[in-house]
Amino acid sequence: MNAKSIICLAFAAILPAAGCQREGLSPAVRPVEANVVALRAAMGGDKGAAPAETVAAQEPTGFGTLRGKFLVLGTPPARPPLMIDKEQDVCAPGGKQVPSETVVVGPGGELQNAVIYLETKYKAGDPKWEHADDLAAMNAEIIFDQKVCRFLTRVAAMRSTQTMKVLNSDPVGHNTKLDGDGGARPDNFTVPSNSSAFYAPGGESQQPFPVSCSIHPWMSAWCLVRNSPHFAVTDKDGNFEIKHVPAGVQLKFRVWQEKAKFISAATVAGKTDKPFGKGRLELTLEKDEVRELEFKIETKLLGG
Amino acid sequence: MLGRLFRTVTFGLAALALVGGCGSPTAKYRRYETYVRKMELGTGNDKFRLSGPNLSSVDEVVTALYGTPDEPALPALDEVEVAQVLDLAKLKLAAGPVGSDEQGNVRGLYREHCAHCHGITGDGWGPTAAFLNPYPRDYRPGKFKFKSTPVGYRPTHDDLKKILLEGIPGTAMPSFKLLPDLEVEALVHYVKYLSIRGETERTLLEMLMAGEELTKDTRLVTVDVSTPELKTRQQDELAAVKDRVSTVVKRWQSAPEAVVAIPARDSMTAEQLDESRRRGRDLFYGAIANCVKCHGDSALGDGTLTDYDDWAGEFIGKGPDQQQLIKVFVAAGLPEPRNIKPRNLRQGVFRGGLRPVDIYWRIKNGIEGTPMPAATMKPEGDASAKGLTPTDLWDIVNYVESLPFESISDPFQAVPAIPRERL
Repeated sequence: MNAKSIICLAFAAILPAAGCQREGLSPAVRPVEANVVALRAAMGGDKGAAPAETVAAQEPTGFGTLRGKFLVLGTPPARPPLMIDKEQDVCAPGGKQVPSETVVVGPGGELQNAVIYLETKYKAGDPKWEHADDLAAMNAEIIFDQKVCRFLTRVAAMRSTQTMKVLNSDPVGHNTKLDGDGGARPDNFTVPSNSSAFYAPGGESQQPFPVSCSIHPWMSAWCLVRNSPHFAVTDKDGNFEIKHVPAGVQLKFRVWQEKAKFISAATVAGKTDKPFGKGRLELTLEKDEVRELEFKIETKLLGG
Repeated sequence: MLGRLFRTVTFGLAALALVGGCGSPTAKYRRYETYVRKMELGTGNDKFRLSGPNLSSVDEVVTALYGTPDEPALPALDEVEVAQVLDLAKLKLAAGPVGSDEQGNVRGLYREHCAHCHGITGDGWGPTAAFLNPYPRDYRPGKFKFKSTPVGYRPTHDDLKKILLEGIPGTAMPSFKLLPDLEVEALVHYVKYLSIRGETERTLLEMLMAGEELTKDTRLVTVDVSTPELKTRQQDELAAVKDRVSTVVKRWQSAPEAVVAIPARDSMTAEQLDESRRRGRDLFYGAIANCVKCHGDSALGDGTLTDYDDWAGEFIGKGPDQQQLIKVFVAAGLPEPRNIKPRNLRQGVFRGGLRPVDIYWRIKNGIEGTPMPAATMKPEGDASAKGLTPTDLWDIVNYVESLPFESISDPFQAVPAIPRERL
């Protein structure tokens, strides 16, 4: 075989592969035919199968408290000023610059607006899993306010049964666009000045989703909707507390921050593997226990 | 001699491949690559990638549920009757390659009328899509703009049918009024089918990510059922799949319940209509309806020009890393994002329709997937609360309908006519 025939052969091989593909097109689905047939058959014939959500088999023995602190290791990322280019008399009085709130870290590395929430599924409203205080607040109204063209809550967390009262404490009109995902309904409504509107999500979101105002593009916040009441957002000192956590059962929590998304690595209570692995935290609390956890996160995960 | 023969044969093969290879390969659905990328980035680890087996396992479940572009199928669900939402006989009329039989019964309607823009998969990325502005709709998120239901609810069958019949003025979407009703019906069912299929693909990718120990070999649903334990596991996984699919289908099934009823517009004398338009104008510029903020001081649609719609926005966000994310997702197949512009209300082109009821719905409900918010209505019996009343909304509709006919909407008005030139 000489060089020419090799070139010919190479062309013959390349042509069918390359000729028909369009640039920037997603690849076609690649199912294995036999698996499709098997799955189709398996789907047809199991009426009355097990309930879909894996309900945890164990039963809680009582309630404990989970609390702790989020700290950033290293120099936190800079906070560039927001570009406020509309209605400056109201939104940036005196031409004052407002730093971005994507990553807010205190002087001692305290990380604000990190979210920790229970991922383990159970039947919502079960008194073994939810303390009487939580049950009482099941349909409560949570307040979500905006002032000087900023959302006063950067990360709002609520139960899917609760209603969010969206306030507007500004002399200008806003709209609130909630990009609900999963079971949480998206919504988008105007909120006249010094007035309010309501958002009822109706179901659980996949993860915290963006909340924005289309009139003032710099306004940004996040909202997490859970079926369970077991969630918390860190305050300006990086502290969080989840009261009435079901005790005596192994629980899985997820940890999220708007820049890092699900936080993939952290040192928790001095250790880097358990209970924290792959962005999930596994814990079992004793009845009436107060568990303190310190999360240390590398600044590079936050863009620092 | 043998070498020459070999060369001739390979050259022949190459030529054959060139001519024959691009003919008509079996149509295949495309993977939801942008959503895959979103899931991967959502892990917080930029380098994380879902493996071939991970993704094939999702492909297999979606194919088992919905079939292929040539052979559509419907999922068998316990909780909801899919046939109430999708008619398989009509889907088969719309699916498959274009053709007709001796009696003139057509098939392949979707590929004949829709696929060149909306794509085989309904991803809004058919061969002509890149040349169109606005881009054709990507059905897969299940979001549609022009409908009678509020943001967060699916459109009704009739909402979609109206779009097919009327087209969308100001876009490349034509009217299909000349098709027989059966064919339009078949296409509406097929659009719903592609939308439900896409929504299912999304929710199944989310399900894959929610699994706890995701490795290179993780499958969404086990296919190996060699032991009783594995069989039980498969049944549990399939039940979870069906639960998610049921949620998707139920949203479509319940859409008619969410239709927003419209109070009748009062009949008016010319003076009353003028008065109503004046009130509408005040509301347009006022702080409650706040239309002026986006539609601009002259209603030319120049108030806010930097936003993106949800079809791009769900991937690229609004953060400081938006430019970077645009690159990442365009590489994954997202059409190059374009800013969404508020409607120029002076042109008299209203995409959702020109009927007063269409404009009322847009103002009352907002426009899904866009920055256009729903009007905040005044709660009944609370005179002090801020908000709009149905009468206010009709006033705004009347004002908006008058805008294209105001003198400043006609740029030629100021040019003086020269009598002699008419000769």
